[in-house]
Amino acid sequence: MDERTYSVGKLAQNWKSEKAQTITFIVTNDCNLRCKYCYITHKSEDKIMDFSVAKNFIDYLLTFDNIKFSEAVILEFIGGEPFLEVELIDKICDYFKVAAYKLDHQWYWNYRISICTNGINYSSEAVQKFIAKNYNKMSLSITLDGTKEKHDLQRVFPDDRGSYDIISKNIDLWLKQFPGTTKVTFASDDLPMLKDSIISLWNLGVHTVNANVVFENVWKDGDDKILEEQLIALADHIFDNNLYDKDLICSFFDESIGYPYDEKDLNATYCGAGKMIGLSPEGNIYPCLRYYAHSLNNHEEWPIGNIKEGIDMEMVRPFMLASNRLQSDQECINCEVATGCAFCQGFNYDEAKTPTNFYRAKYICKMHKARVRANNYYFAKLFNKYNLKRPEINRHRKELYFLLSEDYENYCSFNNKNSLRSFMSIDTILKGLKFAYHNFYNPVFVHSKSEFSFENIKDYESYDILHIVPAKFLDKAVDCGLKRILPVYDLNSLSYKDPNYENVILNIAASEIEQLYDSVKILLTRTSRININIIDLDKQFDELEYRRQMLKIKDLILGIEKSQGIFKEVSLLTDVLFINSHDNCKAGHKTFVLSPNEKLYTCCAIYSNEAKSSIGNINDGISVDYDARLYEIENSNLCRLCDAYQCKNCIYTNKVSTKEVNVSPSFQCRKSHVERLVSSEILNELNQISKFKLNIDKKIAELGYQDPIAAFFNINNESHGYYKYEKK
Amino acid sequence: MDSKVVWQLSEEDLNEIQDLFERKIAIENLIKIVNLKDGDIYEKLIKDYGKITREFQQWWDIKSSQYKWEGTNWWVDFTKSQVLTRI
Repeated sequence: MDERTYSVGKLAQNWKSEKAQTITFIVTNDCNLRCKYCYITHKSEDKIMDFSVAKNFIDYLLTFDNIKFSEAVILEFIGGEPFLEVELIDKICDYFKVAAYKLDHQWYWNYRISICTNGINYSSEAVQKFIAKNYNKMSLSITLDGTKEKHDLQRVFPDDRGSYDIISKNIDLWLKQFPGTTKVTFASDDLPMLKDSIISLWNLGVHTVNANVVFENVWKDGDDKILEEQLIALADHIFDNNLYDKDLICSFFDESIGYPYDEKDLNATYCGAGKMIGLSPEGNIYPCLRYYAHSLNNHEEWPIGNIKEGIDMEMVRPFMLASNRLQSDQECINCEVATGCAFCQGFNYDEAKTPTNFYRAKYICKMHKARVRANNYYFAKLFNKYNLKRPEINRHRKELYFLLSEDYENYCSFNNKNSLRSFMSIDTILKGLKFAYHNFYNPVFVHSKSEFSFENIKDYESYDILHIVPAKFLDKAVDCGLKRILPVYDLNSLSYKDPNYENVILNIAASEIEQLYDSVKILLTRTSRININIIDLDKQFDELEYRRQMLKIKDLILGIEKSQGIFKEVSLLTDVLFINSHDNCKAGHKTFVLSPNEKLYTCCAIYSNEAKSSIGNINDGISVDYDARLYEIENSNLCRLCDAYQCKNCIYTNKVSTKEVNVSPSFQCRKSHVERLVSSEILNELNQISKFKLNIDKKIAELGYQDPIAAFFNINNESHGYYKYEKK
Repeated sequence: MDSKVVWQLSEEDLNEIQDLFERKIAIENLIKIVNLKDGDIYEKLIKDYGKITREFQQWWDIKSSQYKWEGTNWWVDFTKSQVLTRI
């Protein structure tokens, strides 16, 4: 109950979020304001909904049995300004409540009335009477843009007068009746007022601020920089005043944004058009109000039915089938920070060259990236200052490995033999961190094997850094304040006791493989997971001994599971149970290396052995065309046909052994298939342990080969010439 | 008014009390607009109101005793799934 958490960075919970159907009544096209950023570009005084239109619509919804009902409903009233028609809204709500009750429809009690008003006539007798009548069944927000200067810049009357003074008189009354929630929109001109506006709203008692930037093509060069600076200044204000856990929300800060899309995201879409229902004053039904003519400028409106004929479900199908995959171009699909990038399908439709829903306007791109950077800054500081972590999201973000010394610790299967104690300067580290921040790399610091002289300066507090530290230096690392540490063990450091890290690295040479089981056994007593690196893998690798060791580790894992009910993970054996795509080192694709001399490399082995093969530097970024496509797993004819997903597929081993980074030597493939085979035995035995509750939905098929080149030969029937591979 | 969190509700408990609350308020708001002239509906409403009020009170009696909540006059913060009391 006393667990510390944060509110800034989380989003406000919507009432019954996923369970509620939103029904929008566009009660009028008129508004008493003329806000400059408003998307309703065709306001008119004479389009007001007749009560009979709403009544017929409600009757249709409550009685027509070809609609799939959600358990709850949100009755949303919108305009123009909805409270210009408060008597109509009141009549509609009363009709709905009684009609649903008479029919004993679940919606008679499971409903919310939702209204977002400009607040001009909030204190009027009619509005107050309506609120009193619907007490505890309403969500009501007043759109207030922040400071008077910011608000009056955008939210003006038809004669260009600002509306702040009039609305602010109603704020105290509103905050006595409802939790303070507002929606703030920013366009190009008012970005410099962002920080002050959010703080002003919080100070006023409006604790939940849902903020966004407009989707339209209004952004000027440098606007992204201003947004980023404003959000960072706001983050600093939050920390300086300890506001992060005071029940304040600003949706610009969102713990879930800034990750690449996964398959689930690609099949989903950002916007709820087609899941909601909108009714126009004329009695036409829309997938969302943004498909109604009052906000469209280029294409005709897109109704999906009307109150006489009902909803034409054929017309709804495109909305059910909308997905990020088909709405986005390759740049958006492959974006490193795609999640949380907002769009409005109605606006996209209006902006598309042809009248299609499968299009995405991208004017917001640079603004989203600025927001993600500021979020990364905020969450890094939240972690470093208060030890509060945003939830781990299992996506592969790009990583930049900082080799802090020439004698950097081994962190993959490459054995760094350089013993030179030459350290990366603080100036280079800071430049590298800025580079990583701007280009969305997670920074990983790889510390020296032989000396821990790292100075943890305050400037690093703005970055969420993973430190790979030799086990023998763990005490020093903790003492100097490092937070996110991945300890590295080898045969000489197994006796170093650490304060129970969840996850550790174990480096073991291929020539020491007969000691693998004993090493794992020691480490598993004090950690939940071991990432094993088999160093210096080559043709001489003793596969039989490796299999023996792995089988013993299998028994160890299962024994712990049976006796203690704890499932310990050993990367090369258990990862494949949980993943459905390759989890290799991703060198040259998702992970890169920064050397002490400020150059960028695809991997540490290339740096240490072929220093001339840099692909760029910290000032210019990646500037060399290194044929990046060959580093993607899909472009390996072995890996794309192989499901030994735990395989590290060292691109340096590939290059040294076969001359190609995307062609693994057979001994590396065969090693991975030994692991795969033992993993399948773990899976079979786990399925027989009744108390095993990991809910693994995984099958590992029996193969007739240990080298996946056989799979390629199966699909490529051409002559293989003289090439001969070992089948078993 | 100072308050104190006395319990973190499970999802099941939260859903139960939220639904009871929604039903109770819905009927209270319906009573405001349905008058005696509406005969059958009015009678049904009064009956339903009695039933939901009892169920609502029962929930509090059972849960407060089951979980031994500190204090009296509790309320729920639905956004945080918390039961609170005044201190």
